[in-house]
Amino acid sequence: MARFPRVQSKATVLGLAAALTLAGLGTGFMRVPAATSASKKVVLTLWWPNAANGDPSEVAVYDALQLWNKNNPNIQVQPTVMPYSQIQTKVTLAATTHQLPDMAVTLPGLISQYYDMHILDNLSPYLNGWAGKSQVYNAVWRAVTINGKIMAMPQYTDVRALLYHTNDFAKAGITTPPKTWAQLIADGLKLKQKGIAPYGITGTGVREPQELFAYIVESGTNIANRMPDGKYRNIWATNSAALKDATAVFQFYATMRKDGLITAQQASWHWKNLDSNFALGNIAMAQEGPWMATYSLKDYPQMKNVAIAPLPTDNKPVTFLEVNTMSVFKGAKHIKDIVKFLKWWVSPAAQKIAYPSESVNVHVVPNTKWGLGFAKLINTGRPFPNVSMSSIEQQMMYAVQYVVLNQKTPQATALWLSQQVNNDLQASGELSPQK
Amino acid sequence: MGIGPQSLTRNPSVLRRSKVWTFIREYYVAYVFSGPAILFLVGLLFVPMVYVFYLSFRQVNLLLPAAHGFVGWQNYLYVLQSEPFWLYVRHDVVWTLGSVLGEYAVGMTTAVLLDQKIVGRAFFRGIIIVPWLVPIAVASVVWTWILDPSYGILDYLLKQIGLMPTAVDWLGTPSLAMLSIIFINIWRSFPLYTLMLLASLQAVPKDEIDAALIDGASAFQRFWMVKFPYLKIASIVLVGLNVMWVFNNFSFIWLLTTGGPITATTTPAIEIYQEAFQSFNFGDAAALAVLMILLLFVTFAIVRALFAIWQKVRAPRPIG
Repeated sequence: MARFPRVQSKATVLGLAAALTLAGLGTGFMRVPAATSASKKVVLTLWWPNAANGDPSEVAVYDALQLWNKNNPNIQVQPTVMPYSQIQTKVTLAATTHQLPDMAVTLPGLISQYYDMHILDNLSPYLNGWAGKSQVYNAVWRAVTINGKIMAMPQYTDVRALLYHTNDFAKAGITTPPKTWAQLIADGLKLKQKGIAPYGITGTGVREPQELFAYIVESGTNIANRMPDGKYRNIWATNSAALKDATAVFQFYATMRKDGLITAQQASWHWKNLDSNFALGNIAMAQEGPWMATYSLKDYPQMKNVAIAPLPTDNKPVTFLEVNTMSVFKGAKHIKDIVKFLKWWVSPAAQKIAYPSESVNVHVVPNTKWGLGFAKLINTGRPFPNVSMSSIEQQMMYAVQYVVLNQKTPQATALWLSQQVNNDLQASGELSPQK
Repeated sequence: MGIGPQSLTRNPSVLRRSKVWTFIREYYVAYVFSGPAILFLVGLLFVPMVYVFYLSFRQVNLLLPAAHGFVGWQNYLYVLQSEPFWLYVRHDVVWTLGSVLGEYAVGMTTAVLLDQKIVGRAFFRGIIIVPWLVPIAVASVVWTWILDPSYGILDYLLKQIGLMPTAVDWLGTPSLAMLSIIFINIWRSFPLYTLMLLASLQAVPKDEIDAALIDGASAFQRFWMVKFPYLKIASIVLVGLNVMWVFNNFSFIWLLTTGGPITATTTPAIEIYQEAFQSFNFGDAAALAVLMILLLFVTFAIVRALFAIWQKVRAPRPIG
């Protein structure tokens, strides 16, 4: 084997070894200097999904944060932008390595997961005596309260309503929006006779479980009931009345599919498919939220003919209440500064900029059909139960797909979902042994 | 103690040390230069694999940190006894067999065609590689659009020429989704087969083909008896590698269907991701991953055995 001359080879070896040692081990010993060590300025870290160059609604949220940073040079909030799915994964993984940020934007259903992981800071001591607390809807506070403790700060809320195109209804001779599921199906058939696609659903993505949940609570049951021991269980398999209510929900989907109100293709519709098809006027009705107001500002002529009504129901009027929050993680050093920022974040000054149509503040209600139409429904809103929802949401998607794609009967679907929910509750340690 | 040549030969420990020292002096440069590669392999492959094996015997659910601990074979039993696991394995077998056989068939056909003296051969040889150059993410988005039942070009064309009365949701119908993703995978991967097989075809000695021609062999006989035996090595490498790649494939299925509709295209690779990063149950996901590795070993052993049998049965024979 050819070799380097002795001296040169030794030098090469030493050099390589040194370089490898520095390259390989150097980063391991690096420490990021604390941003606040040399001054009184506090930097709060935040993981959120709003990009400065995102769509107009994201830019508005970003602008609100910029306003805070401008007016509070000593309490700077430093956001790191990432999609919702990444925030969830990153928070869960960061919790194991104790590298959580101060705050993170959190989707409904995840607060319970973080609560079970014991990583959330209890905000009740900082908010219970606060005069501004009454400015936030009671239903919204209930959605972020677990075992009597406020575990996250609400930042915006979306309730679900029935949105419909009045011009389509007029063509089919329908004068008022449907008030019951039976009326919705009857109106759908009239629309179909006129060649109008009557209804739209999502079959996949984050919106689908929310949509299904609205029908489940309307039907008088729940995806997971809180049992006397404080844990949860789906009771459809053991309670015949609850099974009847749950079956009615899937029967509603099955009837819509059988009568042609919805199509099999909608089993693979994501929220973008639903929203854009509704905005374009391709479907006459859908369960939607206040975010659709942004489409009315864009070039969607069919959005001029949209009206808002409560979801049709055969029972008492309830709907799904989505409360998007900012979680504050245990170990955050500057908790008083964080709370100061969060109190400002739900104030009218911030909410008018960031979430004018989806505000959690009772004083921020635009005098438009969008603002007034949805605000009056907030107190009928019901959030997800306080359990880890990520696996359950996946099962809810499968359940709707089973029915819409004619793979299972409504009752078999209800029983299947009941079993899956309880399996998932058991896996996350939240299943009550009580039946 | 003396250290001259005589004492070295007398003292075995000194002799051993001397041999070690000679070995180090002789080969240390080679070890230094291969060191980074060894570190890479150990750090990024061996250690994670051992760690996955270790995790597979523990309950590691990030949502239940208090319950972490050794559980023996429980994760494996849970996975093996769950009905979906065997369904997902069946999906994987269909996905792998369909993809690899399809890719081989299309790759072989195009390779044989491009081996002929046809007009524009150089152009076709260049352009055929394009699907393989398209990044998987881009190919997935484009095919999702093409197959969309509302605005996709495929359904539009099929309706226009009267082959289909209504739109078909290729990726959203349980009975069609697997076939659709296999087709897309074949479309993307066959050029690799074409190139490899074409290179082997061009290495077939011309005098053997001429001799077969003189002996009156038909075109099929010339291909089957003369050329095909030269494709064995390329075929074994291609099929063997692709069985491994396709069996473990996650990205294409995830980007096209995320394992749906319902679980119609869910394979163990998809399930590992969902178990680990959606349910955060790393113990079960690790057990599933170890079982996948074992299944892959078995599959690869079967493929090798089949090729070994094939080589014995179909040894090249003289024509005439």
